Parts: sequence; C-alpha cells; structure tokens
Amino acid sequence: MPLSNSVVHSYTPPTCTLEVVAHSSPLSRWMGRPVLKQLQFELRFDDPRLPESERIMIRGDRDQLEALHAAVTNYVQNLLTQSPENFYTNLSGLAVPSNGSYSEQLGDFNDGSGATLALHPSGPQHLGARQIYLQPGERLTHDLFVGSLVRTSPEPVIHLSILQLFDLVTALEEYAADVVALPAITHRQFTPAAVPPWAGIAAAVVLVVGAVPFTIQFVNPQKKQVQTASSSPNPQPPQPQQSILQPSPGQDLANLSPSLSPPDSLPTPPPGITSGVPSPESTFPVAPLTPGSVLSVPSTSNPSGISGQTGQSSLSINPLTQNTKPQTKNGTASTFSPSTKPGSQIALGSPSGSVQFGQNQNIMQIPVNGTTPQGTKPLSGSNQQPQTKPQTKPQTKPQTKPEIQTQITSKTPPKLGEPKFDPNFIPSPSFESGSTPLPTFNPAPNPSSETALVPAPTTPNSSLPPITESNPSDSVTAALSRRDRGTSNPGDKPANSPSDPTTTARASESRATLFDTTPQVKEAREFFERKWKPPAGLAQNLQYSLVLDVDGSVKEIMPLGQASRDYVDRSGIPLIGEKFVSPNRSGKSSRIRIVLGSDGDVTVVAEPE
Amino acid sequence: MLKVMHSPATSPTNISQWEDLNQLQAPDSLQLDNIKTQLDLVLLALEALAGIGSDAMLQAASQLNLESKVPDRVALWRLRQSNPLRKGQGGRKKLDVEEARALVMISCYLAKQHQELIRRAVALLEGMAENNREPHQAALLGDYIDAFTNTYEERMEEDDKITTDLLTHLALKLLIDLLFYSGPGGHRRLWLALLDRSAKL
Repeated sequence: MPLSNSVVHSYTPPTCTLEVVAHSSPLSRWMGRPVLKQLQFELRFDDPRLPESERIMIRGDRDQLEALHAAVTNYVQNLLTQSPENFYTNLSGLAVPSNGSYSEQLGDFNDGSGATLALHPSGPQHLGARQIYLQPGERLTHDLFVGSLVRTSPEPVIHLSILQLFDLVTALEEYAADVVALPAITHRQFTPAAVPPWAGIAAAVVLVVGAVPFTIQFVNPQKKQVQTASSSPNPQPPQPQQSILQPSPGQDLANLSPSLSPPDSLPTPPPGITSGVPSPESTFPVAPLTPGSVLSVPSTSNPSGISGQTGQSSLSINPLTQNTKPQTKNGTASTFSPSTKPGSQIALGSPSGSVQFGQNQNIMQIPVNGTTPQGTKPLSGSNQQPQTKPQTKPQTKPQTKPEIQTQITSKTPPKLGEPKFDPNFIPSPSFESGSTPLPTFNPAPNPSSETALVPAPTTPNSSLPPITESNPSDSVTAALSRRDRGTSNPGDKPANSPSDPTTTARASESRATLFDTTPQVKEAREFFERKWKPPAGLAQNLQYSLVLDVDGSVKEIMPLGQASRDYVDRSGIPLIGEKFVSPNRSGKSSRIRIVLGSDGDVTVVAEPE
Repeated sequence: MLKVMHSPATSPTNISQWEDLNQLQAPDSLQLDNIKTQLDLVLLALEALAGIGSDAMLQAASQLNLESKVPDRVALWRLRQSNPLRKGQGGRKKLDVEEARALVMISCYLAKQHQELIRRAVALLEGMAENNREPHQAALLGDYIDAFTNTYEERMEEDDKITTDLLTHLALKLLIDLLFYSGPGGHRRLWLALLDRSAKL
C-alpha cells in the first residue's frame, strides 16, 4: 500500500482478506481514541481454486467501504429473511438471475418488512453502474457488483459462493465492530461530514481552558512590568477567564456548525517547518488594549511576527467579530483572520499562528509557543515537537519564569491549601528543601543563577502533585510542557546543562516520583532510559502515544508528528504484540505518552483514559 | 507501517449482545408466535446437524449467564414447546420477549461453536449445486436432511401441505442461515430475521 507510516487493520476470515490502511489523526488525543483518516481499504478474495494471477482484489476509500458494508449486510439480512421457497429457486438455479423475478422478490421482501429489508427498492436495474450492490446468482452464488471500486478483474461482477459471502460479511462486520468499539469514530469514519457541531466547540473549550494557566503566566508578568496590561478590573485571573470562556460555546453552539472544519480535513503541517529560528530578542510586547477586558499574550519566543517559522499551532475562535479585528495581532503572523461572518467560527488551523479567542469586547489571545505544545497539538496536525528553542536573553528569564510557575500554583485546587493566587507571591525558600525538583530543571549548582531562578523550581514543585491528582489531563499537559521547557532550558543557561550528572539524576528522580502513576509507566521509562540513543541527525524530540494491552504488550503505536513517524523504527519501541511492561493490575489497557528527546532525554507519562 | 491484526475471536461480550438485542425492535404477540416457530426450527436444525441436545443448550445458557431465563431441561422444553406447530398442548408456555432473546443468543452461541461443521456442510451443498447433484447424495448433508425431516415429523403437528421436498429445502435454508448466525453479529441478524419474517407472515 502506498501510505507509509500508517496503521493497517487486517481482517482475515478464511476466504478473503480485508485490509484497512489509515493514518491516525492527531485528533485521536482529543477523542481519547484512535481517529483514522485517509482511510483506504483493500479486499482480496482468496479462492484456492483460482491461480494467484486470477485472484480478485478490490480497492477503495472510506466511503466505498461503507457502501460495500451497507450493501453486503443488507443483502445478507434479506437472504436470511427469504422464504424456503425462494431459497429453493435459488438453489435449483431456476430463472432467478433475471431482473424481473428479482424485483419481484424484492417486492416480496419489502412487503410489510420496513426499510431494513429494502435491498434496492427500485430493483437493481435502476442502479447506476457505479453503485455497489449484490444480487443472487446461479446456484447458490451471489453476484457482487463492485461499481466504482478499483478492481483487478475486468468484469464489474464478482461471483461469490455462500462461504465467500459469509466471510466477506464477517470481515466487514469485524471492521465495523472495531470501529464501533472506538466511540465517536464510527460516524467520523463513515460519514466525515457528520461531525457533531459540539465536537469542535468542546475541543476548543478544552484547549482554551487548558491554556488558561499558560495564559495567566504570560499575562501576569506584563501586569507587573507593564501597567497597561492590567486593564482587567478583577484581580483574580483564573476565574474571570473561565467565565469569559464558558458562555461562548454555549450560546454559539448552533451557529458554529456551518463553519466547523471536519477533523479529517485538518491540514497537515508541512514537514519543513520544524526548525524555526526564533528571534533572539525575547521581549514581551504588550498588545494594544480594547476598551473591554483584553488578555493579550504574545509569544515569548516570537514577538516579531515570525510565528510561521516556529511551527506553532493555532486555534482561532472569533465568535462575534464585528469589533474583534485583532488589534492584538502583533506576534502572530499567520493567525487566522477573524471571519467577517456574523456568526461564529472556529478555524482549526495551520501549525502556525496563535490561539485567539474573541468575543465582543473580550479578546484573549494565546499564542502558543514551544513551551506549551500539549494544549495545541491535537488540533494542529502531526508536527508536535516543540521546535522552538528560545534563545532568550538571560536577563529575561528571571522575570518570566517565576511568574509562570506562580500561575501554575494558582491553578491548584484551593482545598489543597494552596494560597489564593497572588501575583506578588514568591514562595519562601523553605519550599525548596521538601519539594521535588522540576524535571530537568533544577536549582543550579551555580549560586548566582540559583538566586535568579529561585521561584522557578520551587513553586511548581510543591504544587505539582495536586495538579496531577486533580486533573489528569492537565497533569500530562503540564508535565510534558514542563519537560519540554526543561529541555529547552539548557540552551539558555549553561549552568543547567543536561550533561551535569546531578541535574540528570535529579530530573530523572523527579520524573520517577511525579509521573510514574502506574508501574507500567515506570517500567516503560526505565526501558527507554536504557534503550534510547538518539539517532544521528535527529533534530527534534520524538513523541509516541502507546496503547498497552492488559498483559503489558504493545497494542497500538501512534507516532505524533512526522519526525516521530520517520524514526519509529529507530525509536526502540517494541513491536506491536511484543511484551513490554508488566501486566496491568486493574485489568485494563492503558495509554502512555513517550517523549524521546533528541538530547537523549526520556519522558514517559500516563495519558488519561 | 504498523500492523494491527484482528483475531476473529474478538466478539462482543454476552452482556453487550443482550443489550444489543434489547435495543432492537421488540415483536408483538402475533409475531412472537411466529418467532417461537422459527427459533424452534433453528434449534432443530442445530440438533440435526451437530447432534446436540438439550444438554448443550443448557450449557450454552449457563455460559451466557442466561440461567434465569432457561434454568433447566423442563424450562427449555417448555420454551420450545411454545412453538405453535408442535404436537400436543401439554406444558405449552407463553414465550415472552426476554425468553426469545435468550433463545436467540443460545442459538447463535451454538452455531458459533459448530461453525466448522456448518461451513463444511455449506461447502458441500455448494459443490453439489454446482455439479447439479442432489444434496442428499453427500453423506453429511444426507444425514442432516434425514435427521431434520425425521425430527420435524416426530415433533410437529401433521400437515398435509408439508412435503418431504419442502422439508428438505427448509433444512438446507436453515443450514445456510446457521452459517450467517455463527458469525460476528449473528445474534443481531437472527433477531432481525425473526422480526422481519414474522412481520411478513
């Protein structure tokens, strides 16, 4: 099959083989299940009586597979409903194949039996040549007219014996059951146009809510440093933001459907954008403010409008766009322009740009930079590596990092005793001794840099476990983004070079304690820490989402991003079906995320079910 | 390229099959009468082909956690006796929808168990049809047809309209039906076929 790096599902009853090849859509992570796109199938009839060269094979796409499935199952159901008398005519080969008698039969089927019985209510003679349908052949055979399907046989008809028909319907049913077993995919796979309107909204809401902590962490430094940023009258950022976000999907639900892109049509990011070179001057420009409450968060690594180079992901939501023409478009060269439609629009866009959320006077713009790839990845296509290695000037670090971490703290549930968010909150040094260090981001041995970085490692560490417990999806996001941040840090701060043994050891230890929520995660991490050697020329991190079977073997491998697909054979991931970790004690299959760093770093976290 | 093989063994669980049937349309009382007949005949075909008796059916019921519906031999007999074509009135019971569903699941379970035999019989039947030979000339089919015809005549009320030919066709039709009931989703197919056929009659 022509598609590389795709997943093949094979269904192999005795007389035929159905192979379904599809790309796993990045939306899988939003749905929590594999979402297949660009589906192609190949159906081979393995008739031992025929020489290899005469074996029949048909090919087609998703819609054709659906049509085939519908035609075959309906036909079989009709066959079962046939009366023995009709069966006898078929058996003895008397006068059956003529269209007239068949139509009669169909009329018989349709009498009082409802729509489920209607094979082809108008009779096959009215069907177009491109239609897939079946009709009884001579002596217990059944003729499958393959219509527009690509086939190896010159004739558009395949004569199926009963056993072949049974095997065909078995394969198709198994395929369909497989799809049904993955909720929300059934419709996606069979009727790409029928994406429920709320799916996109839900995804957008999750994205925006998920991005809130990161928004805040960027907003607040500006509040501190630049007076204009604190235009919001409410001093508690998380709550006002959520209240801004929530009404939008609800009220615009009905309007959204026309402009929703089906997930299958999400653009795949071009592979060439992986090595962006951000502006070395990392400043924090403040967006011009609208009279209403405006939250504007320019990219930290990319203030000068070159986001196209940095492989950023974008989600642009502009429900009511009359006055939201973004004044805040400073750092977002490829942001989707707000639609001029009076309705609402969600554009799930290219891998470049920013997250923009506007509603009347409220504009929230969340450019997503390399430090927050998780929030945007699933929508952005397959290129999910944090490609930006911000070469921020050292002096900007101490100003921004503390704020980031403080914001994370503010997201933890109040019941856990976390202080209410206070922009001026600086954790006391006493946190440091008892807390687990941030992965790959440690209090550097260099005293001066430690002073500068004090709040960064301490605050998040003390708050991290509560995050993990309270919100698993956030925890993965936070963990991975923190980890990504960690890997990008060494570039900025020589003191925190990953080659520093203490750094690595402590980072590894922290990952072990923080993210090893199950023994499988720990084992997988240890496995890759032993095995993972970055291949020469690997410029970015590889990410894989693995489904582990109950017995601990690998059930599914989903490479995330082009590079991850390209390097899947060198990733060291065991083959599908191979024993990998210990069996799951709770008797469930689980999903883990593996990030193999180009610098040799390994992160494994459990993905929420 | 990643390969995901799907073994045919991955069938839905019994509970989901039960729920699946629950979601489908339920028959009215007239249909139910007809369904009783059809179910009894499907089981009769299984008996004739695979030589299974009530033991196997009860075992299937317990495997499927359907003991509450079909607890013992007497209950099974009463269920099958509900077929209006059956001889005698004694012990006849009204078959309710739940019991019909239970019999559907048992039939499909047994068909799946004996799928190999069913396949072989169908392959033989195809071969005979292709060569224009009478099906009963093949030993397996001949035995099956005989067993089916005999048991039918033994159990069902006499009816002049029922000829040996008709019974032969019925037996062969049921054989092919059994093949399709033995596959994945067979329970669904059988249930829908029962409904459709009973609606027509």
